[in-house]
Amino acid sequence: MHGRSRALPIAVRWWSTLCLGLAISGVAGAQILEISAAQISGAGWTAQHPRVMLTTSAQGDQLSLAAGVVQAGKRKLWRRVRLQCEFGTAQGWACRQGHLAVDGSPWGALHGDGQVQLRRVGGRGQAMLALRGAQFGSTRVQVQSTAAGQWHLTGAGSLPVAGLVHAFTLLPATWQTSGQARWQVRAQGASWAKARQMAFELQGSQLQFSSPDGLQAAQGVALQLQGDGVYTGQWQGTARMRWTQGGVLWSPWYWTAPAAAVRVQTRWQQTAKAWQLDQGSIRWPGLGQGGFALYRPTRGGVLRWQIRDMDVAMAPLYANWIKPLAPPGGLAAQLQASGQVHFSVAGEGGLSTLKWELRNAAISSPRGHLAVTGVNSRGAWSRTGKTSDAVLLWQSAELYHIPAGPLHVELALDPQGFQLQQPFTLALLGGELHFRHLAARWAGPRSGFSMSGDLQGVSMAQLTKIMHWPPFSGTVSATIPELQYHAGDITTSGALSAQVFGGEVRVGDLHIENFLGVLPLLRANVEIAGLRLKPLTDAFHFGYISGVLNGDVKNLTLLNWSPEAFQAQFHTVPVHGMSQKISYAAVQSLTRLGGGNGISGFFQGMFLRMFKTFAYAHLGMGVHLQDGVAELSGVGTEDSGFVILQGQGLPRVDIVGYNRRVDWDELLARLKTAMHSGAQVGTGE
Amino acid sequence: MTKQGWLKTQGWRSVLVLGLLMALSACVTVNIYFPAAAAQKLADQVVGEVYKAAAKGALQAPVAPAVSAPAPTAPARSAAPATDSLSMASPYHAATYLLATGFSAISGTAEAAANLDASSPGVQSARAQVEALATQMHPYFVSGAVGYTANGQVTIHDAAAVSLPQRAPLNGLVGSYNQALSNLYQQIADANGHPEWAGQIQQTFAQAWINKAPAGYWYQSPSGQWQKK
Repeated sequence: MHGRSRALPIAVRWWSTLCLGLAISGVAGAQILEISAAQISGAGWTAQHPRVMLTTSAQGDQLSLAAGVVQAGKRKLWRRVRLQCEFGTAQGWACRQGHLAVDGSPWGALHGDGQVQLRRVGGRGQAMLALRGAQFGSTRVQVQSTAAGQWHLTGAGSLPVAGLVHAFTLLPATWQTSGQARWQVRAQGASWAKARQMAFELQGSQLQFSSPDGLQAAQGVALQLQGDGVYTGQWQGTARMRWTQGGVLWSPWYWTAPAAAVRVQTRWQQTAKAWQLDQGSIRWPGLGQGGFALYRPTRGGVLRWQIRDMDVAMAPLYANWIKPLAPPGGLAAQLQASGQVHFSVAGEGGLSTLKWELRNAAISSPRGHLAVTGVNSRGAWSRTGKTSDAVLLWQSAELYHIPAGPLHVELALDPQGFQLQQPFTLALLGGELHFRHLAARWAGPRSGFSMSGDLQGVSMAQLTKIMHWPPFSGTVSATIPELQYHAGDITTSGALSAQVFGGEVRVGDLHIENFLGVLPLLRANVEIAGLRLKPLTDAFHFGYISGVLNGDVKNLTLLNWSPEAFQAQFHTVPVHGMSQKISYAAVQSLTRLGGGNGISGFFQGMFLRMFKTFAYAHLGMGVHLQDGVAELSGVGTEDSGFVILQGQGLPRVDIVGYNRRVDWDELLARLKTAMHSGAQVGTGE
Repeated sequence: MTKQGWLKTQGWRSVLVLGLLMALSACVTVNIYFPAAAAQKLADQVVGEVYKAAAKGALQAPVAPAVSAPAPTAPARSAAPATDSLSMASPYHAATYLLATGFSAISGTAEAAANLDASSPGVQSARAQVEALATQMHPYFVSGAVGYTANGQVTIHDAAAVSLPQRAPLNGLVGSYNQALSNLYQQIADANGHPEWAGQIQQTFAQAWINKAPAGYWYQSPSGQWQKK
């Protein structure tokens, strides 16, 4: 027995033996050799309380090995390990029909059968291990060594990935994982203590994982991982990955493997300070390709990453990577994009830098609320850097089917947002929209866009046609105060003022909720001052009225751009040098608007037709819309009616309405009828 | 002071104290109670229409309901007696009549305010948003991936009940739907001039979402236990 024990090859370097016990005993014709230690350690591993027992008898030799805890680095790999086998020495040393039992491991409790063979041929040592178990699949490892201690290892096997994932803490312990992996490994070293080269290949199939809430999951994933490395004072090498099948959910993102494999390859390096991936490249068929790098400190610290020179198609980038971040139901969630983008992006505990060049892109929403074509842009942004430049161009754009002309705008980007470098002008409906100020903030309570500017010469005919409003001629000019867009809402800090028909329309307290969303809601107060009635009535074909109109619309509420409620009142004001006259046709129109059927009396009508116009003292009307019912009022009361027109001089025409409450749709129909049937009357003015 | 004079003074004091007590009691009883019955009726109507729209998968502009139901108002201890005002000739009766009339006028205002109106544009817009999102949420309710909580919101019940592609927008959708629901409750409260009712309206809707939920929908009991309709 002693001779055998001396012949044992030194398979590992036992450098720490706290307590070594050696016992030889004989029981009933059998001899037992037992060796035990408090702890033995090798390069990167430790076994506590190891015990080797060799029993020889007439029936054969039995070898049993046991250990309390086997650690790899700081990780407890196995707990309560027992190996028992038939020990033979016919061709080297062999441990056949062995049974391995491990009470605790990343795979759970392990039970397996296999054999170990150790041979010495011509000064070379050879070890072969074959194991098969339900938890760890099959494993076959062969090691050859020289007398000088150089060794070469090959291994292959298959195993369930659940244990592998848990063993290397690839995912949190509470996540469910399943799937199979086939592996191959080759390694060699100059001494038993140190490996110098290695190569591995891992093929996973039907891989699945799921977080407890199911919002991070994968199904049916097939991927191949290959790598190699060499030790020259530190480990470094290359790694390649191919993803060929399955889908991965990382809420709110979901990606499926394209028909052609997604390929990733990189150089890797492990130093005492960090894990590092460098010179990486990714090729995602249907999306694009580019480079990447990653730096992960081993002792805490922030992960640093970089994606370099990505060339990506905008359509899949927007649909699969950007749109999932948008709130459902909002505009961004409905948009579609096309074109190409070239970008580089880096992060360190959040996005750090971004550099982009967008080429020939387009954006559109399914319902036609927004469409922009011929978009080109380039620029750079840094979270911590100074202000940088960006430029945005488009060929054409449409907002709510309102077309806008080409755009060329230069922006100054800072860490919190952007602002205009120079004012710019956009062609709009035959006129211009001049942007004095345009800015954006990415985050915080004031995040969103803000702008101010002027509107010049915009064609009302085109605008009213597009918006399906009553036809309107002439042009409009307006001043837009600070207008802000935040989370789908638009507000103004001042009043929009527009010059129309020689007067001024001021829109104050403007607030649009759910802009570009479902049923936008607009609230505003409108003031009208000095409106010339002649061009106004000309535009509406209402009949001729001269004079100056003032008024206001309070608490105007538009739901989905249709009036829902307001309190409006309009009345003429005498202006020196401005006549106040009304034509017969306009009288007819006003009469219809007030609920009458026009001037019905034969003689009355015939008499009035003899005059082109009539002078008036007051003209005005009030409308209070609520719950689909309009309550009408005038410039005064007479009997139980309300006076819409109070004539002056001879012949004098008064219009008095008596139906104060009218259905809103009915009032709109009357207005439409009045505008279409009102004949134009020449007045010589 | 003579006994008669003392009695007269005490009498006036009593009348004054009585008047003050009546005035104080009148002030105390002018409360506007949450119109639970009207809220329930409104919730049932809105919830029914949202479920219908979600099932149809078609978004339509909602028809504004204006629900008016008798509301539990202040106790009627100060209600005006049904008497002929012409017979109330004495100063005492006149004062009583004026007090009662004044109080009933205040009470009348309280009762009028207790009706729930959901016709405001804000409510309509909020409903439209809820219906639009409910259409997107429908398959998740049917599959059991999401369910209603006991406080009128929704939460994820079993994400694994739907496929991975369907699961991707689920979390964001639940968040947006909860925002839309909260906005709806607040808009109804605002439209009725009582922003502070939002919480009670939410609780009323919570019951309606569960009571009117189609078979197969999941919901949480107040203790947090999941149950299936």
